[in-house]
Amino acid sequence: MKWFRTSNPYVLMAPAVLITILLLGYGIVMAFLESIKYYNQPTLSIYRELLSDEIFITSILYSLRIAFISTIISLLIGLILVRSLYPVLRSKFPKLIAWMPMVFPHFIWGYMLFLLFSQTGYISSLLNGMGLHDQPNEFPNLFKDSFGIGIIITYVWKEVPFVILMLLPVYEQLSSPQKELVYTLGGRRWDVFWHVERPYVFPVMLETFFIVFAFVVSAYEVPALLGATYPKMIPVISYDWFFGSDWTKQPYAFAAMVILTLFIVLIVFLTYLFTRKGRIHLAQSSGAFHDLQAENRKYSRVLFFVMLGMTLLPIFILVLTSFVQRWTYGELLPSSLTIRGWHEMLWHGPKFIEAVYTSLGISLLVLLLNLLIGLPAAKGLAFHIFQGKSLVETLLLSPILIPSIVIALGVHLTFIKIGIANHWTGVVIVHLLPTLPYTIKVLRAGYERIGKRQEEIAVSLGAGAWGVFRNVYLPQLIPSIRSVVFLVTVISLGQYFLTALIGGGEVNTMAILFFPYFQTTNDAVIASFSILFAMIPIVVWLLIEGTLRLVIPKQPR
Amino acid sequence: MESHFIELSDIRKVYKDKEVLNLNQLRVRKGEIISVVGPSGTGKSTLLRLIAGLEKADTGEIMIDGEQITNVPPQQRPVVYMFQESLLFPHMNVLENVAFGLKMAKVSKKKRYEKSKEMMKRVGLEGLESDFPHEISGGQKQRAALARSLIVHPKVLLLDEPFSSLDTELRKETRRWIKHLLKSENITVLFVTHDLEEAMALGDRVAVLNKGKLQQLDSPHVLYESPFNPFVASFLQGGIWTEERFIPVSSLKLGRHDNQNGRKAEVIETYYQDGKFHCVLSIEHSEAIITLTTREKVNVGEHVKVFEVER
Amino acid sequence: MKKMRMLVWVMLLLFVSACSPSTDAAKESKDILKKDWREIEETTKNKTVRMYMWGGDTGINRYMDEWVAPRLKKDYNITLKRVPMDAPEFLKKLANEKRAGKDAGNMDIIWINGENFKNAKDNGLLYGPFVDKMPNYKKYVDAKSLDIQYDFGTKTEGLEAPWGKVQFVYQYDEEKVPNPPQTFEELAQWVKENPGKFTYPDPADFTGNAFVRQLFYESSGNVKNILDSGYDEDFAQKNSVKMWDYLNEIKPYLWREGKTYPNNLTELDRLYSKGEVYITMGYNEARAEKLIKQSVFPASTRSFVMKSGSLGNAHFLAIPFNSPNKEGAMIAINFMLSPEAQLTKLDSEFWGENMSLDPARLSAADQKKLQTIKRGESVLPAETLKKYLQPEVDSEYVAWLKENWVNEVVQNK
Repeated sequence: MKWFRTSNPYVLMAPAVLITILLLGYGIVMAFLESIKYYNQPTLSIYRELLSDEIFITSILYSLRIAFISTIISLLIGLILVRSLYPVLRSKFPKLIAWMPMVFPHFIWGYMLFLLFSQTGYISSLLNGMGLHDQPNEFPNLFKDSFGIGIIITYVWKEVPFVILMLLPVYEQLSSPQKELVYTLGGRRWDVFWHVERPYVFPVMLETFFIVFAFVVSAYEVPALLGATYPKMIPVISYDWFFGSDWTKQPYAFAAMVILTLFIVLIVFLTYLFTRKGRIHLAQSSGAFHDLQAENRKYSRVLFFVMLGMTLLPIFILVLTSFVQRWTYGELLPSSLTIRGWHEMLWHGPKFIEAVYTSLGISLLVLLLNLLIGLPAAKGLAFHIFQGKSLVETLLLSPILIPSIVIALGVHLTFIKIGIANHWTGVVIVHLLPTLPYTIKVLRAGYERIGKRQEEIAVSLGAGAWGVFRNVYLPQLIPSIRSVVFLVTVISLGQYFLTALIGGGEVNTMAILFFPYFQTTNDAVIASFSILFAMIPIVVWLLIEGTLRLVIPKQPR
Repeated sequence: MESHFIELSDIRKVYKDKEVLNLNQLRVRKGEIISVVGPSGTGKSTLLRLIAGLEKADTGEIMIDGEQITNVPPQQRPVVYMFQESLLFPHMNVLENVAFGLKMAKVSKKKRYEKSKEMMKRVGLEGLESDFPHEISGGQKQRAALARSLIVHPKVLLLDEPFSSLDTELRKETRRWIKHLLKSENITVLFVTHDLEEAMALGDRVAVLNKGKLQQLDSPHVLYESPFNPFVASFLQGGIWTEERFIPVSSLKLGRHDNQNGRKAEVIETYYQDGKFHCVLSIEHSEAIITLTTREKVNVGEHVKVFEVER
Repeated sequence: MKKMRMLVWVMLLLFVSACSPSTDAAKESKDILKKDWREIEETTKNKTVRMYMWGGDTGINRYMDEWVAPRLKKDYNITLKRVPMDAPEFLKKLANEKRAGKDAGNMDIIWINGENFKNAKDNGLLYGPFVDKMPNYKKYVDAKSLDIQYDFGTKTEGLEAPWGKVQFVYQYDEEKVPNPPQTFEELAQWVKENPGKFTYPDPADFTGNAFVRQLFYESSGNVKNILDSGYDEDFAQKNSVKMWDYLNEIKPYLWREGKTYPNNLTELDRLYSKGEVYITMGYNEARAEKLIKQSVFPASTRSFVMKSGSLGNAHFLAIPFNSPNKEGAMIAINFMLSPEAQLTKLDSEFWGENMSLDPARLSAADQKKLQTIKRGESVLPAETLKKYLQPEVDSEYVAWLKENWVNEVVQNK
């Protein structure tokens, strides 16, 4: 049965749901069993111990606080930027600028900000060089502080582009007549936002909130890099238990992550349940394009340049760093330059080429699978109302809500048993986990923007299922597919832990080859590796962009 | 027995325990234009969607041109559906939009563009081939949408309030040439509207629907002169239903309020048009509203009497 | 649904193909140890050996890729593939494979020591004992010495072959610290006089733990006491009071007033590189050389050891239980234990780390060569290093110190 020929939502979503359940299910069960030490005597003692441990509770609260603050600030900044900039952001170049921070893995971005804003960072050094202060410690201490300012800054800087990516399609489909209506009825700006924008924006904001929140609360790299000794975020503690020298601590890692996971998934499910109704009405859009006018036209230019600066400054510093041999604190310019960093990266020669090809191949395959599975699922979610929809939505989103170490053990055991561990097929399949939810999310928004009516017209004019997809949906889904290409390649390339475990060293992607270098002290090496790394998604993006142009020559505007 | 081009029998459709459509029988002749009217929410659009195959009836049969199509998928039905808004595909230019049906029928590119250009000429869209939908006016969009529908030579065309997004003048103009075009193509048309004038002007016959049931299907003249029931009468505002008998407006006359005979009425609106005063009257003790003409000016709020005149 | 069915078929196929050849693996690997060395050499021609090792140092990687791999190819026709992966990660992978009953893995050599070795040994993840099969081990390694018999208090029992030895030293900037401290008392004094200029990594880190461990030795009087008692929490509790007092005493004078610590050595090195602190530390007495050459460390960097002792340990190469090419692994390890390979490794051009071989057993020519190798100005003379060398204690103390440090030092406001 071909999915595009059916309109049964269960059939449309079956592949996505099955693959999610297959990958997640065993993993979660294993994690839970491990956490209750099922192999000797099942007991909940670890949970009791953790929940009465002061350090653990402090850590949970600290994690929740950091995640909450970073998420809220990201959402607000993202919302303001999108509201003021969406006509500008429709063009490709500004969009690429807005998305740029996403091509850098989180910890690299954290590292870039560290280079800029630490007490001995470039800004501090510059101020010192200009004679504005004497000692590095006169510069505000933003990193490794007990409040987590550095972590929050990094996440906000990184997540704002993601918020933009999620919100932009919504603003592109808002109609300006509705806004005018509110104005003529005596409404103010706020009323316009509340009555016209909120109903569309709010559900997406909520979803974005959960994605970002869940990510921040369970991600390891940034707090490990920039966090203070005390308090530590939960993922740092869990990783330590998981990878630490004392293997008897491993169940603690699982228990901590299970607690976190339950908490997140429960909240998400409840939210879907309660906001279900709002979204249905939004799906009845007619698909007409509206002329767009930004709210604050005069500020939008200024804002865009601020955004441009914020994006390019860290990247500029990174490029510069990759050539710096020595840059003493307080000097305005580096005292000596070198290409050593680049040399170190590129002497790998054949290994490097192999890694580039492997990475490209894997991300393209992951992308292909994502589209094959994601397109029908997204359509099903966009156009159908059915029993258990909230459950399916939560399930399809859950892979990004669940920390990867929770499911790593189960997935690895399964993959070993069916023989796809230590093989690229396993890596490709496991990469579906962190990518598929985004794909479905973005494509669903795309389908909702097009609306169902055009399909009816086309069908009535004699278009078969494939004809409808090829001629009506596909061309109009291009902007969404573009976002998917971007997100999926970036995420797939950035996967270190899952690739290392499942690929087992047989599959040498860029991440596997270069992540170890992050442990060197040589900034030039780290910087050149970071740049190289960020280039790959851009290359993929350009490749796909070129292909799209060939396949679909004409695109309106 | 008379042959019918479209024949619907025992159609029933229920949404969430609510019956939206229940038709014993609906028969349309070839080349006929049927206007479908009725209060909103009476299943007009549902009727069209059932015929187009976009929805499935719970029971009943649909025949078109002697063929059973109840279980035929929508793309294989000889039927084209047109929405309220033009719904041109925003990512295709006008020519591609018009040619869409032919493309789906796997007509060669050269041939389909040739035919489409011809069709565009017929609907007066010459020269707009490479424009995109957002670049043309509302009226042009409707013409393009019509051209897109007609190019596949459907046996039946279903129009769902196709003019509702146009302004009054444009509507009138558009409906005139559409009627002309449809007649010249000899296409059978079902046309949903909420505008009575439009329904009468365009339809050879008019179907009045209420609460999912067909009330009456007749020519405009018959509808006005002899409605089947009080609903049709009051819906069309064509006269007064009194003592199980219908008196059409054409047999009614306005008189002063102190007359002995006649029925009491209140003037609720007056306007001057075509050299006469028109007054809209609300008949006392009934829901009927009618419009009569008079030579003298009457004021809103005045009480008058309405007489039946012999013809 | 067609797609799903396809997927299931693909999975089934892979399942079948992966499962079939893994029989009799255990028996086969027993047989290898009965073979003589010639035979082993014969069987490994044209095969690949995959070596899993920490990959965060460009010098080490270059030593493996540019020096070791080409020679293995040339002399033994073995293709060496280096896979960069952290020890805890590849051990997790190995443990999962063991659990899933996978007898045919893909790792042939792993680079481990300390608690990683203990975990691997305790969980039966290692193949062997195999070291006595290797000619170079028998010839050049002092198998009787304690640092080879014990790896952080765990008996090696021939399951791992020593690859190198490192010693814990402190690096300082000569220009900023003219008279480096010689004892922990002097260090405390120096720290108080130079507030904010010293810190040590979080003991969750390998290096940070070693720093605290040395204090623990001092706190309990003598290493001998700890070694004699084995791992004993009561003993640790009683003998650690002095250590916690010391750490709390210097805490307010540390970098950032001891409110936070570098998470790992990389961070401490970065602080040192930027001049935020004046002293750094770490295993491998020669590690500063390369960093000076790369201008990461100032050229005036020198090193010192504490009079009370400097930890030294060895790191090892082992063969996983499910290695698909155990013969090849042995050949490769044997080669890496050759005087030629070990002397090249000593050269700071590549790695700069001490040999695992007993210098006295080398040939006269090699001994001469050893003496001519200049390790660099930042490296202390071999006699000094040897004089203060102290052994490692049971690796369970590592975890104990790590955990208690949080309670005793961090939580102590």
